[in-house]
Amino acid sequence: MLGMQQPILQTIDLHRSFGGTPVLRGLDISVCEGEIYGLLGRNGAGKTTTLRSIMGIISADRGKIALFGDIVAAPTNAQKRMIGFVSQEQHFYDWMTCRVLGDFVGALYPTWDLKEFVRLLNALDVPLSRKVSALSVGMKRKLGLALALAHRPQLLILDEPTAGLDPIARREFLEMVQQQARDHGRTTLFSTHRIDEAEEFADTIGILEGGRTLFEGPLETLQSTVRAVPEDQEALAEELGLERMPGKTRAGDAVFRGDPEKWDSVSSAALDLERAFIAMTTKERARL
Amino acid sequence: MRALVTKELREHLWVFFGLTVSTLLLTAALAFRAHVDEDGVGGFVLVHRFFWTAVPLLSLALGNRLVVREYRSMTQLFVETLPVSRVAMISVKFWLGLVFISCNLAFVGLVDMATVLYAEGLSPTFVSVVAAKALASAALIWSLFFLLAFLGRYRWLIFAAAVVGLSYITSTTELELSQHALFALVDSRLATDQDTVPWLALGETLGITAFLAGVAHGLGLVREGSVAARLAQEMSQREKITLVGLALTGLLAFMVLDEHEEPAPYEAPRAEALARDGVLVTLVSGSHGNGQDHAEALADELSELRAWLGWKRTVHVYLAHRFSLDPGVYQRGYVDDASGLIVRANLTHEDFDPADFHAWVIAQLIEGPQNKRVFTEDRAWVRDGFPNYWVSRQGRSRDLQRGRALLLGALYAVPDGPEPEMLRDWFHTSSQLGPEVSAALAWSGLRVIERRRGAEAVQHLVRDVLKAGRSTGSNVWRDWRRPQARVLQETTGLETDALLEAWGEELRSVEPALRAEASALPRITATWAPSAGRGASRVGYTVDISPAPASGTAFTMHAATAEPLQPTVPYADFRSTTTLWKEGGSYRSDRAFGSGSRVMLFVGLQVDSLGMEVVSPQHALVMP
Repeated sequence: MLGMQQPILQTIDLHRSFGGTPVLRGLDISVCEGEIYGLLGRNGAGKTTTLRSIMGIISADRGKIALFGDIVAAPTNAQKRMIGFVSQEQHFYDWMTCRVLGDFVGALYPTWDLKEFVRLLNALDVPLSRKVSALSVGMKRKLGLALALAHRPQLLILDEPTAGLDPIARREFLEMVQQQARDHGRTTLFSTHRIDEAEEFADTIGILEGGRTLFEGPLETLQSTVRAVPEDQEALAEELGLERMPGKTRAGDAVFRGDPEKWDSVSSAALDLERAFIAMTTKERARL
Repeated sequence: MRALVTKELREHLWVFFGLTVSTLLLTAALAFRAHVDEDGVGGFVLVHRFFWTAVPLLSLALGNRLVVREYRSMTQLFVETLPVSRVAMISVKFWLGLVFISCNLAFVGLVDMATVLYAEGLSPTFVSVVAAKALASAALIWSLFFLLAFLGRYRWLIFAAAVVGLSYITSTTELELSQHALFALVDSRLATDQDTVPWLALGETLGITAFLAGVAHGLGLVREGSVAARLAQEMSQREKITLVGLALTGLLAFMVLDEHEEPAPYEAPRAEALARDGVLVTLVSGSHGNGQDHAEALADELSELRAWLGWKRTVHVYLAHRFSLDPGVYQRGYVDDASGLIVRANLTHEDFDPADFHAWVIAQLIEGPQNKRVFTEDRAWVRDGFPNYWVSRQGRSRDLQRGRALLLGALYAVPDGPEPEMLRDWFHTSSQLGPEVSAALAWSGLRVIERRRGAEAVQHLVRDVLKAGRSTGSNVWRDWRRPQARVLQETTGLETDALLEAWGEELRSVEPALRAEASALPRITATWAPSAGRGASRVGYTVDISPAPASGTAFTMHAATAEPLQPTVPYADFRSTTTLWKEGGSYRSDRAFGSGSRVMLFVGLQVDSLGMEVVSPQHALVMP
């Protein structure tokens, strides 16, 4: 993305356990200003825990969070006012209408733009006067997005925003997010387990597995660092210090990872994001 | 913060409204009652009454509404994503509840003030004192229910445990709750005490309030509020079953422990205690004359009995001399909250019969260690026969004379031995024969066992039946598991049929003269009918005694009121009236009975040659 490169959000060696089970084990991600960052991971990889830690809903056992240039344990209210957050599950007050909910949330943000809120709801086909209890899952998700955007946040965080949405709603939702990011230069961090979403909408991809970051960077970088190696080239790849990934391709080729310059002397093939993701996150040496 | 307050007010608007209306109605009702009672003009009566009736209910309702509802619907997770701190979210709820309750209380206080001003004037000090006491106490109540609300699904359980714990502490220690915290502030003096500020109680109240509110905030914050969120969720079926199981186990354990917990012995400061191994007899009064000797003899007798039964100890016996009692009449006394058996007898009377007295004391004594157990009916004859068996056992100086009277009584009851149902339905048998004759019959059964199987067999049987030191539950289980026929067979080696056959043989083999004497003893029948009166009814009855005694012979009418489903009434509960007999006479009870009451009735005649009272079969009469 043009004009970015200043990290607006960083997690440094983030650890968090639940009942003795480690979920985050030294997670490092870095989200630069203006970019759309797709946090890609399988179920249980630690995506939601990462985003909830960033929002201060849970606190990390160890590690640091750098937000808008400040190292914090949890975001301050001032920082929260610069963030829009859409959680995976919406726990709005059922008795409120969309308008009343907007009034309640709006009172907490000095930058709240009621017109923008109404515009977003109209654009997303969410009736303003309808009670929350009468909204579908998809509508609640859209309402959450409108609430998160109406105060014009610098950073938008979305936790699996399209889970449970039908294909059309999903596309509408993501296009709205993408448009907001492009039009307003809004930094966006979203988690997903859907490779196509990350591939289509993210500028930067972070791949999470077992509470750690396996890869972080643009898709092109991934494709130039994670590649399929035929059987007769495996020994050479290992000799060059390329890292063998757990998975294999459907053709039986091994998958290696290494800096782009190391690949010059090895015969290899590029992988799409899905195959690279599976090769990196598969625990057994399954065939792709 | 303002947004949160607005949100809470909008969310709970109808609840606040409803509670306010309730306060108004309750205040009106309390004011009306105070007016009727004519105690509404003496001070802040309404505040006092409102505090103890409405403040806990208001706190309960608000706690549920403000806290439990929020966490149960998990909406706090949404608020946590907004630029609002958790402390602010919890504090808004706490202060909102406190302000609402205080306003309600203040309103009631204003109503009170209007009344007092009208009647006698009001000093600012008085108002300040009442306000400080009432508001501090209301804050404590609210903070308690606020904390309970954070305990979610366990709040009732913890509340009940706290109340039980507090009751236990106050009952087992010298802690006077009424002198502490809100109990000292909002007591009956609140309404009228014009200038005393109980600073200590006020400090305690505020301290406890701060503590409870602090713990509540802590619970809402600990582990990012996830503890409160988890507690707020409804119980699973498994949890409910576990908790019900635990509660039942606790209740059972409490009952068992309570059963085994004996109250402290009755204190008789100037009395002399006679200690034997496992036996304690205290001569409360009557140490002159033969009193001391009789007490010594009783202690020796009970000591021997204790060893024979295999008991660790017997109940502490308090022996009191009553010169007004007839020699064969004994009384049992009861003392509240103390252990021990109080017995009264005319110890110094020349006709005082120690064996008879001992038999009576033993009959009272063996009930005690059964832990209030109701004897299974088919083994109750062993209990009834044992006291006489014990005092007239072989080797006793008065064995022959007493034994003869008992044998006569047994022959009078059943000349050819008892039928199986007489033992099985012993309570009925006893009600037909009277306490003394049925005891004589039971004694004869134990003698039969002794003669056929030896004294040890009797000992084994009696030990088994009178086994001490078990709980009621375990005794009932034991009795159910081991029917009397099995107990008899295991302890004596006799089957029930064999015992009854031997019993009949023994009675039939008694010398003819004694059998003839028994058959000549008077038999009594009585007919009963209600005798209507105003409000309560008396009982009219006719008595037939065969052979007829001399006119003017005294006989006794016994009556007791039974509970609706009570099959028998203990003989100790009967009240007796002595009447003079006349041929063909009809009588009317002195005592009146309420309409619908069930009255148990029988007539008894003391027969000197038998040394016992013979009776008419017991009759149940329902009063119209």
